[in-house]
Amino acid sequence: MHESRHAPVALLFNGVWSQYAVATSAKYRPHLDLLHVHDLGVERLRPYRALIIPFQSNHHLIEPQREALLGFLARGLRVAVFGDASAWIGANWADRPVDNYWWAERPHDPPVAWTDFSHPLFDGLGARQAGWHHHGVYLDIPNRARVLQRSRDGEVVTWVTREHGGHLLAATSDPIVEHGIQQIRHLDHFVDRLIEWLGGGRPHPEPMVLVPDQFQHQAIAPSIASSARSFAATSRPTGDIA
Amino acid sequence: MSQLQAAVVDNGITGLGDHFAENPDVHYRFERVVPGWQPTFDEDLVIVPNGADHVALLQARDAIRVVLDRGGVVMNFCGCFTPWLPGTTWVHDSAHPNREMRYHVVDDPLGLMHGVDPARLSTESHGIRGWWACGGLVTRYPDQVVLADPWQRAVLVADRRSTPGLIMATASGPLVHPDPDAAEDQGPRTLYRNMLRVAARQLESGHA
Repeated sequence: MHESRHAPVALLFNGVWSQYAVATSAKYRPHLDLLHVHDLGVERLRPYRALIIPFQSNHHLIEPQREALLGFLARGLRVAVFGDASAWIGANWADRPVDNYWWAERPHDPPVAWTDFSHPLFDGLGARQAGWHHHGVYLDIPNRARVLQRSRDGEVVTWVTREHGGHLLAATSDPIVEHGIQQIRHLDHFVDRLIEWLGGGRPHPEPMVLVPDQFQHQAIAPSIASSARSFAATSRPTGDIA
Repeated sequence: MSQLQAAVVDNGITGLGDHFAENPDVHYRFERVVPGWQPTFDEDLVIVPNGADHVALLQARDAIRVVLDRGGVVMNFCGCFTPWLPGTTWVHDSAHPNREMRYHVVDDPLGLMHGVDPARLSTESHGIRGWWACGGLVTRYPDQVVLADPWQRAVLVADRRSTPGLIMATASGPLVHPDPDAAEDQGPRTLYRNMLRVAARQLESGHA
């Protein structure tokens, strides 16, 4: 089912609650549309200026859409991939221990140890807004890629390349999922800047507020029906609790 | 205890194979979520890990119900924000600061909290409080709540009333199969082992 109006940026949706929370918040709803991973393809990507592939994505289903994703980039559009990633991006992700308690034990030694603040993605951001923790690192990034962030050990956390036409950004951080979980309360700065850099407009600067009503079935049903054609085709009326 | 046969709902996130590795107690089969997913579960234990696809699960709720109707067990460790789980749903709520998080036992007739210190769930190993659960479970049967937070939101439910089977659900509190050689931790590791023991008892009692 297509909606007649689209937000400028698609957020690839793996049915994970934190991804749903961010995209359906009052703050980000004008900027982000949920695009369920089962519906990923050339046609469903067509209305968007950019695509965010968040942490906790379904890489079994993304990799077969390699041509659709590279075609999207070839149109000069932008893709941002977070967390781990499948091979279509042309780099190898490697696991590393996640240090998400550094701020309590080593506040002056963050896991994202170096950031290239000359890149416009980081315009106006401070060090703590640009980097929190990361889930692994990238090995063997594309030859022409520009490294934007490194770990304490000097390994690549974030890189960007234009070798496919548009901007392909890859980072092992998890801004969408962490913002949805709301256990790091300063991520508005990065997510706002990310959306603006992707061409999705400038979200209003007030912090995102999630409300329990977002998670009531009356609110959920249209959101997931518009994001998941397969759901829309098979769903039937349901009560609040099955 | 004979080896349990479990299906893990797999929506392609990295690390599931490590979190539910083959071991003498449980054989884990990964049920991969695909477009048009219409699963049939031969196993009587279905596990929904943290980070699950609750859109796909809503489509598969009839298959989940079949498992429960034959007396099987469903364990859910994620924010079930779509109504696929009989009797229980989950609502995100970040209104209260993590530092105020405490859990207390409401009722535990199955012994899920045997050897578990609730403080070990609400306080992460690095001393950071409130990382385990997000929001709360809304259940049709409040007498099936095992663990709650200071605002009386359910964070662990063991529901034997909604179906002939057993539903054990956390309010998005992640649990995984611990390393078989790892000692009890009075926290998530012990809780998960207790859940397996309760699941085995449920299945061996002939309900499944």
